[in-house]
Amino acid sequence: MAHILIVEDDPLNMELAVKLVGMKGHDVSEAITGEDALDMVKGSDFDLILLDIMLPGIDGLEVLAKLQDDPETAAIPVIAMTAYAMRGDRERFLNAGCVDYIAKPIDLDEFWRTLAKYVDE
Amino acid sequence: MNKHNNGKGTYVSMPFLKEERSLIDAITERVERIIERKQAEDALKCSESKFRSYIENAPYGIFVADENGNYVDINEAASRITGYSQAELLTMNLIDLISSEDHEKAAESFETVVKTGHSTYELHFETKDGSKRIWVVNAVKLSDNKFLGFVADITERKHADERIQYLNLVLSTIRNVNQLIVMEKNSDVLIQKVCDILTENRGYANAWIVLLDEHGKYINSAESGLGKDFTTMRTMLEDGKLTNCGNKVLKTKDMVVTEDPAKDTGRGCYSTCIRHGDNIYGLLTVSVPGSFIKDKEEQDLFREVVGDIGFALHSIEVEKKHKLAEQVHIETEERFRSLFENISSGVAVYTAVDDGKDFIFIDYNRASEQIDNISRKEVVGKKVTEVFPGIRDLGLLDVFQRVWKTGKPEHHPISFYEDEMITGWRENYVYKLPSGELVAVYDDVTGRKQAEAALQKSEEKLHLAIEGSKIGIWDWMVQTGEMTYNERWAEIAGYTLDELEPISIKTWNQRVHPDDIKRFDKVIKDYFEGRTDFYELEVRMLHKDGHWVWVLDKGKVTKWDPEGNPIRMIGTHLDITHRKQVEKAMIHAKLVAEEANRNKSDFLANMSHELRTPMNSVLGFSDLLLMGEYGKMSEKQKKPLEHVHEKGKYLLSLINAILDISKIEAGTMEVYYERFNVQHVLNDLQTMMIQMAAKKHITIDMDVDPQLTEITADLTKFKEILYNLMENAIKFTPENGLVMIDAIRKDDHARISVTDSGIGITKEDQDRIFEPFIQADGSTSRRYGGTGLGLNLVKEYVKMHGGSVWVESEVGKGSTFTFTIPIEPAGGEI
Repeated sequence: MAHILIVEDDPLNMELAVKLVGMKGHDVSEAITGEDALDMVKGSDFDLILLDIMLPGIDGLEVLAKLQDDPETAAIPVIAMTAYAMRGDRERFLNAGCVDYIAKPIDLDEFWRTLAKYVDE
Repeated sequence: MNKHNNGKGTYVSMPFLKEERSLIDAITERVERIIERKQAEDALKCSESKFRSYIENAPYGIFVADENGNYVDINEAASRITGYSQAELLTMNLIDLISSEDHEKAAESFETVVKTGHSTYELHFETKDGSKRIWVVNAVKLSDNKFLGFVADITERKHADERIQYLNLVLSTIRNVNQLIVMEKNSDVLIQKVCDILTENRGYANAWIVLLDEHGKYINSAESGLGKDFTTMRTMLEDGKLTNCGNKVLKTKDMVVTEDPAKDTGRGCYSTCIRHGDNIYGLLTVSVPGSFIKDKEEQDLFREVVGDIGFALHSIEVEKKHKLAEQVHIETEERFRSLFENISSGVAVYTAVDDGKDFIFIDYNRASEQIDNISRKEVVGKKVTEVFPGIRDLGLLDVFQRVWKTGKPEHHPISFYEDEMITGWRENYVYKLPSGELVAVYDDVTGRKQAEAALQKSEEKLHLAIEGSKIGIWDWMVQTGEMTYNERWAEIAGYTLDELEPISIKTWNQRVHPDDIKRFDKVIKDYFEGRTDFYELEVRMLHKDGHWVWVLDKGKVTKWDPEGNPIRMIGTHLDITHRKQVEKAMIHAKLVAEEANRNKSDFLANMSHELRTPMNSVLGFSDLLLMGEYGKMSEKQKKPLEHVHEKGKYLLSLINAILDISKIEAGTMEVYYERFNVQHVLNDLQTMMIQMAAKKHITIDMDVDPQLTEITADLTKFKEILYNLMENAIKFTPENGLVMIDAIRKDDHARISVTDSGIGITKEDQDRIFEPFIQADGSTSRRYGGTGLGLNLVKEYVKMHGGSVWVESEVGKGSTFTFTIPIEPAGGEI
C-alpha cells in the first residue's frame, strides 16, 4: 500500500483516477492545481504522483521541474497522466523527467499495469 | 672669330686714301700745266692772283719751300693741319715739323724730289701742340728751284690700317690657338704652345700662363717673350703667391685690364682666369699694345681665346677622367655592349642635329636590325628621318624632340609604323643620356598587337554579352587601388561612369553599407589568404537616390605577385535587389506560414487534448460500469452501456484519424525513421488481427520473402498502413473467407499486398477510395463501419515514405491492395 498524490483539474477525471487507484488499495491525496500539489508534497511521504499536464496556473511540467529542484521531493516518481497523446508527447514527458506516461482516455488494464511498476498493491 | 672682317667705315678708308692721292696727283698735274702756261705766258700776271686764291682756299695743306727747305708760302689749310700760324710757318724749315725718327727718311725723300722732280712720302710729323701725326706729302720741283707740296693728314686712316693688321694677327693667333686646342691633349704642352702662338704670331709682346688645381694650388706655368724676366715670377708662383692682379682676377673671375703699369712701355696687359663653367684652371696674362688696351673688340677677342683655352683644358681633364673611367670600367662596358647587342628589344642611340630637330644614328643593336630589317651599316651616321620617314607620322619624332629638350624619359605607347619599306606595331621608351645622346628602346609588338586585336574582338563580344546580361564589371589593381568599371556597374548604383569620376576603390568602399564592409574585409581576406577559391559576397550599395541596392559581388584574382599578394582582380556586380526582395518576401511568407503551421499544430494539439479529456471519463466510467464497479448490472442494462463504450471507442478512433489527417494537411505530420524487421512486425500484426478474424472464421495467410528483412521507415505509420489494410480486408471478407498477406523485396523496395475475398470495388470507385471520408458505397459504412479515413491515411503515409499504393479489384471476387516503400529512405536520412 502506497500513498499516491493525484494532480488533476477535471473533477470527473479526478474521480475516475481516484477510483482506479483506490481499487488497488492505495491511499490517495488530491490536488486540483499545481500550486496545491507543491504545497501538499512538502513534509509528506508520497510514494508516487500521477500528474496531469494541462493545469490552470502552473502546468504539469513546471510542477515537475519544481519537484525535481527540491531535494526533498526529487526522489518521488512522477507519472504523466495526460490527454496530450499525440506523436512525440510520450517522449516529451519522459525526457522532462517523468518515470512513465499514461495517455487519456485511459486504458484501465494499462493504467494498473503501469501503476504496479512503481507501487506494491 | 671673324667679326673683325665685317668691315666698319674706318677700315675702308684705304681706297679713299688712294682716291685722295689721285686727286692730289690730278691737282698737281693741273698746277704744273698752269705753271707751264705761266712760264709760257709770263705776261699773264693777272692769273697769278687767281692761282693764289685757289691755293689759299684749297681744302688740303699746300706749301711752297725753297731749295733749303724753308717755307716761302703756306695756305690756310696747311696752317690748320700743323697748328702753327702762317706767319710762324714762314719762319720755319720743312725739317722742323718732321718727327726726329723720320728725319733720315725725309732727307731721302727730299733728294728724290730734287732728282726726279716729284715724290710722295708718308712721314711722322709733330704739330705745334706736340701730338704725333702721319701726313702724306706729294711734292713736285718747280722751275725756279722751289718745291710745291700738298699735305694730307692720314693719321686716323693710318691707325685704322694698323689696327686691321693688328686684329688680323689676333685672328690668326686665335686660329692657331684653336687648332692647337683641337690637336693638343697634354695640358703642359698646350699652355706652352699657347704662349708661343700668342707672342710668335706677334699678337702680343709676351704671354704667361699659370695652371692651378681645383684648390688654387700651383701646378705648372709657361711663358713666352719674357725669358729671364719670368724667373722671379715663376719662383713666386711656385711658392703659392700670385700677383695682385692675379688675386684680383681669381676673386672676380673676370678679366682685369691694366694700362701701361710701367707708364713708359706703351703697353698694358690683360689678365684673366682660364676657366670652363665654374672650374678654374689657371691664369693667363698677355702684354697688349697701349693703343689697343681699351679696345672692346680686342678684349672680347681675347676673352674668346681664353674661353677656348679653358674649354681645351676642361676637355683634357674630362678626357683624362674618362680614360681612367674607361680603363676601370672596360669590362662593364663590354658587358653593357654585350647586353646592348643581345637584348631582345631594339636599342638605337642617336645624337641630335639641327638643334634637336632631327637625330643621327650613332648606334644600333642586333635586335634593331632584325626588327627594322636593315643593317647597322645602313643606318649609323644617317638621319632618323631619312632612314625611317614614317617616324613623323608615328609621333615618335615629337617624342624624341621633347625628350631631348626636357631630358625627361617618355613612353611612346604602341603605335603603328608605316613607310614604303616596312610596317608594324612599335612600342618605344625614349630617354636622354647625360652625354646628351638619345636612346630609344623599342619592341616590335605586331604579333602581340594581332593577338590583342583578336582578344579585343572577343572582349568586345564578351562586352556585348555582358552589357546584354546587365552585369557590372570591375577591374581592381589591388596594390594601387586603381579601379575600372563598366557603364553598367555605375548604372546599378544609379550613376553614369562620368558622374563617379575620379574612380578608385573608394568609389566602391564609400558606397557599401557599413555592416557589409566588415563582412567584405573578412571575406576578401579569406580569399587573398587562400582560404577560399574565389571571392563572393552579397552586399548593399548606396544608390544615388539614397536607397540600398543589393549586389552579388564576385571576383577572382587574375594576377599574383611572386610573394603571393594579389595584383589584379576582376569581378562582377549583379543587381540582386529584386531577388533579395523576393527572398525577403519569401522568408516573410515562410515565417507567416510557419507561424500559421505552429498555430495549426497548437490548435490540433489542443483539440486533441480537449477531445480526449471528456473521452477519458466516457470510456473510463463506462468500462467501470461494465466491470460492475458501481454494482452489478442486468444484461438489459449492460447492452446499451456496451454500445456507449463501443461507440466511445469508435469516436476516439475517429478523433485520432481526423487529427492525423489534419496534421497531414497542415503539413505538420513528420516521419520518424527507425530500422526494424518487417517479418517481426508482420507476425505481431497477424497475432493482433487473428482475434478479429477469428470472429468471422477468417484465415490470415502470410508469405514473406526471405530477402525482405530489415527496412528503415516510420514504424508507427508502417503498422498503421498494414493495420488499416488488414482491418479493411477482414471487414469486407465474408465469413470463412481468406485474407492473404504477401511481402516481397522488389529491387530496393518492399512490396506488400493484402488480398481479400470480399465484395470487390468497381473501377469507378477504385479511383476515389483513397480520398478522405469515402467509402465505395455510402451504405457500406452502415454495414461495415469504419471512419472512411483509413485508406486516405494509408495513401498519405505511403506517400510520405516515397512509395505508392494502388488497388486491383474485381467486383464480387475480392480486392488486392498493394503498397511499396523504399528499403532505405531516399537521401539516406534517418
